[in-house]
Amino acid sequence: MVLVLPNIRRFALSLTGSMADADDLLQSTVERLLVRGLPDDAPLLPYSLKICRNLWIDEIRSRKVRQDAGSGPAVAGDQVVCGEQQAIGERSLEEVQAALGEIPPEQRAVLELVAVEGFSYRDAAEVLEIPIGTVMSRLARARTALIGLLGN
Amino acid sequence: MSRPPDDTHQTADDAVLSAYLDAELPQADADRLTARLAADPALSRRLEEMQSANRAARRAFEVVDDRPLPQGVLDLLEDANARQTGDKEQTGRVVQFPPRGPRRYLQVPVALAASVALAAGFLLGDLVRRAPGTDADITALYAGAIPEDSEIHRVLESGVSTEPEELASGAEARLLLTFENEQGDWCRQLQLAAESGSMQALACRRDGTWRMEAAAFGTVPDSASEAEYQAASRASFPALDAAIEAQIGARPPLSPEEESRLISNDWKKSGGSME
Repeated sequence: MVLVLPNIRRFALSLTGSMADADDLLQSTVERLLVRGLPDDAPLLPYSLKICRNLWIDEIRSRKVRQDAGSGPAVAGDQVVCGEQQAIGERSLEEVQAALGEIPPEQRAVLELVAVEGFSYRDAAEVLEIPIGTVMSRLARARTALIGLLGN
Repeated sequence: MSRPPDDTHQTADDAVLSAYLDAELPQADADRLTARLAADPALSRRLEEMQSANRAARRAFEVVDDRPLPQGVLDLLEDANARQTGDKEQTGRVVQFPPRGPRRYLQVPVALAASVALAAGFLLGDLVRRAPGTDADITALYAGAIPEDSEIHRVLESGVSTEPEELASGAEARLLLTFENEQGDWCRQLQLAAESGSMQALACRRDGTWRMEAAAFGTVPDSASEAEYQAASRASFPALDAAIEAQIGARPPLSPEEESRLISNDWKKSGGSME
């Protein structure tokens, strides 16, 4: 299980949008995994990610937190700098993080699973319990939004 | 600040470009798009922007990999480790690092992973800046990241297979195979041998830095005889060989001359690389 912790942690970051919240979510996930025990038959990573996501959903509901687009990762209150002409690839990490903060968690989660964890659309759909078509459209929207926020 | 709202043309194209980026378009649609891209510079630019945005997002998420795991999580694992009736047999187990994709990993008992990491404690010292055995070392190992200022990174970046090196910790580092994997990344097989055991690792170079893909540890019992120690330090790891077999692309591993040439060329391939 130790080996998939970084994967779960990155996924948690995509859901929560902040490193501190991601680590809290990671801890809850680990706790739940240890209590429930690891599955014998099902692959560990998708199983863990589903647990992570369900815990996050529970947390959202119980806290009645409004997931507005303004909650940025890592750096709070930062503006995306758009003044100068700059290639997307030259944007700083902070700028990219701020841009990701502007994107809804559902889109971020799909982007993370596909672009970072390398999940296929079908596997991402399975973990997130959404249709493949929704995976496709959320991904496209996330990328479009990022181009808009980071581009010139 | 943001672009003006996209027209539907752009939205439709973005959806197709996005799926194309992930190789999730049906072949016929992908072929059609390839043809369109060749004829349409604006569309091609849009794809490039999307690739850049994708890469930027990936970097932003991966940033969390370099931070040590939260203490709360480490405590949970330590408790679980203490409770678990661990598997005593440790030699030759392959530990696969956080992979890309849901299928490429092995389920390893917590006890094994933790104790192997501790047994290889001194080896971690070669991988990370700080003193071996600290939590940060373990997480760096498990995240697959290899700090750029570590000896291991230097060995991978500029070592040649004909010249084993002795590291600061006294471990001997020996490069075995250097090859190109199916994704077009350069990979190297590295062996570290020392008194407490040996380790073989597969590391690949992507975006200019080296990451661990898989490692196998062979530990030596405290009471080991000289012969047992010698045997352990030259242990072969069939499971790691299998991992390499799975990664190796069409071309054979490099000869020492090819290695030297590649290193002096800063690992650039003649054709230039995409990503």
